[in-house]
Amino acid sequence: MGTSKGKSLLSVPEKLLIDVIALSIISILCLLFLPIASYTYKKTKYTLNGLKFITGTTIQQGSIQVTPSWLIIAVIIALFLTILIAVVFPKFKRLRTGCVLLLITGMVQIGCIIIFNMQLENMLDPAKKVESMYGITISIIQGVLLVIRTLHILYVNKIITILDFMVLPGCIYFLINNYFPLTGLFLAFKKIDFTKGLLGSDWVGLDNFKYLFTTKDAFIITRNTILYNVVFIILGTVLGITVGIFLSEVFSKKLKKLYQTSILLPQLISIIIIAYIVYAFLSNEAGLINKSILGEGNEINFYNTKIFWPFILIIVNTWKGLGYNSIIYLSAIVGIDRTLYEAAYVDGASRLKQIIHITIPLLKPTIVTLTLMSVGRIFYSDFGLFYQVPMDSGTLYAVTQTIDTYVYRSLLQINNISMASAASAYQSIVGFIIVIVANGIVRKFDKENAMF
Amino acid sequence: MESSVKGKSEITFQIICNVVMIFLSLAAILPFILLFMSSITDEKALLVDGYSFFPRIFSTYAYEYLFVTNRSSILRSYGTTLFVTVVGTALSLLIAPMLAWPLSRKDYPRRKIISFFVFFTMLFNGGLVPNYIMWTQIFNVKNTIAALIFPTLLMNGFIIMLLRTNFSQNIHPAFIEAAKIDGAGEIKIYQTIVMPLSRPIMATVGLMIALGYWNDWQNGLYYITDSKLYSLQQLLNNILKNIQALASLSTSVTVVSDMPGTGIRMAMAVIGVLPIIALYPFFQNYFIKGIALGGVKE
Repeated sequence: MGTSKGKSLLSVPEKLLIDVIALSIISILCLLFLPIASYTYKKTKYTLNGLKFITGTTIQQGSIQVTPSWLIIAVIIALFLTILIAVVFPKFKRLRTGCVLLLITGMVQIGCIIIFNMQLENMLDPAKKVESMYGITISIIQGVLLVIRTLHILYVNKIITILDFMVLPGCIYFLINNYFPLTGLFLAFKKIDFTKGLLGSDWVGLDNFKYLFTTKDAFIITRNTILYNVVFIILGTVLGITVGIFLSEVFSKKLKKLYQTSILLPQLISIIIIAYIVYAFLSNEAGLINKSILGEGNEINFYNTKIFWPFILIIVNTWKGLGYNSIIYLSAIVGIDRTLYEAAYVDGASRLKQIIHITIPLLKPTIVTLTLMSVGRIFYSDFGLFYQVPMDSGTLYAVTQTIDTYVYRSLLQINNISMASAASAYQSIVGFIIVIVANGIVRKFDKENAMF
Repeated sequence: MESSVKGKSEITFQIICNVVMIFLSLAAILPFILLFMSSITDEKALLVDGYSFFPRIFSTYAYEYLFVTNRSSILRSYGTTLFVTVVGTALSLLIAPMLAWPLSRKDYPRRKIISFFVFFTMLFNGGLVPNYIMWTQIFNVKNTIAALIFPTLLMNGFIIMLLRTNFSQNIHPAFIEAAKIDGAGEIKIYQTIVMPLSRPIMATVGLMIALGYWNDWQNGLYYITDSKLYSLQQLLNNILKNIQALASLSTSVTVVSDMPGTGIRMAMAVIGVLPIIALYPFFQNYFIKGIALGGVKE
């Protein structure tokens, strides 16, 4: 704490944070008594202050119901906490504790206000043109100022550095995009009812899962996801190594480059274009296979015939991924010490023997790592491959439905959110366990190849 | 390897290698040729012979039709995709290295905890449903251009880990020490030492991200229903599913009746894939390098 001597008046942490206290008090007053929302009802514009959103009222002779908003209540509580923290700030043994608490209240405040602002539109049915007003803006500015002020205290006291500021935007993105949705896993334990809101919906415990597992779907999607992945992993590895070795043995540098470039082409394009290509081969009216190979009278309606699709999907996936897999293995092969081969050559080992006794054993770490990574994702499937390539054909679901397509279809086509969130949570949780177990197994046998 | 001493078996081996590789290369390329050939086949020939490598009657009618009726929706979708790709890639390239650089520094005290914070996102995620609900209910991205940029695509843990490894391998701590002695601050060090030394990896990562944005159709599928905001992939997707979607997007109504549906699908696919294939020779080195990096263990 002594590091801040005389740097600037505002930064001395022993003093009361009078600026923070003043700001918070102003913000509470603004939020309570200044207009925070406006709406138009029967062509007249009205405003609402925060107090109305806390107590809840009915306005316009009962035609508009303002329910108490827990978001505004949370903001007010956060502001009072901020004042409390600011008052006892000098008492904190470590400056850091006080600052972290201030940051948390600041974040809660900004977060709640923003969410409130976004939900405002749906809150005041049947009023039109619901807009937020300057009360909200002042509160957001106050929250931002609070966070900046706290960071400033930390920075002046050398608890955080420029490097922390550099990390901040990325961390915030991960926090929003990757961590915040984790809290949504609880949706799987609720019966979602949008009229009650996500938080207001009833808890149903494991009912969603029970329902999911009594249907045939749970077995089908699990089986499809895992079996396809097993085949993809085995084929991808074996073919990747084989083609990688072939590529590494091609003598001409120019040809090698040409081959690499060509086999990578399918990896480059979107699955939509691949679906078009598959359609060009399989379509009923004009597909190459039906028209040119099978000929008239022998046509197969591919998009309605289940038995072909495991093969089609495996071929398409292999075609798409071959370049990628082989180049990964090629880059590992290139890293192998050339003198080993020269020594083997002097000893009279044939090419095949060199491959079996030098290349493959030395590729082992790469093979283990890549296989482990794929096994860790065995509960996830390439949504595009299973959704786009079969052109979303309903008759094929038994062989093309995977967990990912099931979640999507339940969520956005059938609008069965409970089922979708149950399947989605099932995927997340089991997928996570599989990664941990797969890594644990590798760790036990071969510590160096473990991911973490 | 031993170029001077080539036995007979060596020559046979080379021949086998090359034959296999030629076969695989053709397998990779020919489907694209089929796509292109089908797009320049006459509609009547298509109905008789189907899509084929050697069309009997050539015709550019499918393209002419698209150019007359759907020029504006195709151009608009191109514009959307281009905008999203440029903005998304630029944003990622701004944020990702700023996060990865401190994580590669041994003297950064919060290195371990933040690395774990990033790494954990690669192991566990909330799944589609919470993500979808968050982006639509809280951030209201439905039918906005933001829906094509921010959800899931902007950054992932893998990119950060890749950059981190690369920084710690390529930028020697001694550089940083020297710069600090000369009085350079962290921002100056980042701008004048780290960024210039990392151009190749930034190009590679940038290319991977840009391709991700260019090829993305999932965000469109989840969040966009307004045809004005269709990205190129989403337009292609809708046309593949339902050729009538094209008619509903077209500017003139009269020509819909004689729409060459069979050929038009393939013409659309060619229009969609052409820019990528045309640019591929220029960026293939970075692309190959990016894939090779992906397989190297950190």
